[in-house]
Amino acid sequence: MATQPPPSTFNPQVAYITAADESIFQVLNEDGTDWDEAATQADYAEYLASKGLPE
Amino acid sequence: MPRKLIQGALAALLLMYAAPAMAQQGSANNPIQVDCVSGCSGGGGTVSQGPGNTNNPWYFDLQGSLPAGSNTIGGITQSGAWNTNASYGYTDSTTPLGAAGSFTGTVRWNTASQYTAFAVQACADQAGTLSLRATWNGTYFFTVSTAAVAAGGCQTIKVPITGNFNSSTQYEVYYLNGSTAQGNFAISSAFTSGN
Repeated sequence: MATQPPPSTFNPQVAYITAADESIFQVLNEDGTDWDEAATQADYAEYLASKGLPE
Repeated sequence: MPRKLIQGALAALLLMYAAPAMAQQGSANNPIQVDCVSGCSGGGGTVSQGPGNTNNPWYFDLQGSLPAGSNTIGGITQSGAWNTNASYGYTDSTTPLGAAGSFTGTVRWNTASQYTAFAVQACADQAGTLSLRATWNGTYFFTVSTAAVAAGGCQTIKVPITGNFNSSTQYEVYYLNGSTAQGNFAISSAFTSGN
């Protein structure tokens, strides 16, 4: 299973989700100080759906 | 609370406990001093404000001796909001994780001297593993504690804060979901002064 690269803005000091295939999901808020959970969740759900995995 | 108000309240408290007959003496260096001058079997004693410092501005010296038995000098009882910033909490995530997915929380560190512990709690409708990690260099994280979460259950991990005050020890929460995708998940954490 191909792994999705982390976003170019990825900050390991800020919350993120890692899928079973080690793909990393993180959308930062406007000032980059924390994650935008709703946006991250949307990306993560879209990815799982694209892989045919349960969300 | 203004310094003079605190001084006054403490002085009144000491007077109340040091009855029956007291005299107040104060000076620029020792604004609060309470001496038991009569009716004090065993000799009484003095309570004065010590030199103090940035971290302990209200350091007091107790000098003297108590008569044998159950005698005590003074006491402090919590009244009202003793510490209005007793804990600082975070709702780290409520995003359900897919099978074998994981959540890694934002790195946090203690920034207030009243905190003594860092705690994390996670609840999930599927089995998983909760961990609390710490780093001393901001890069490599050690797992301080781990707890298995049963399907439909919750787990809490709480560890004492160690290391130098402020940014020395940093913490992050971590949750690894099991083999079944979650429908409901919540993980939250807090710095706290409680036990």
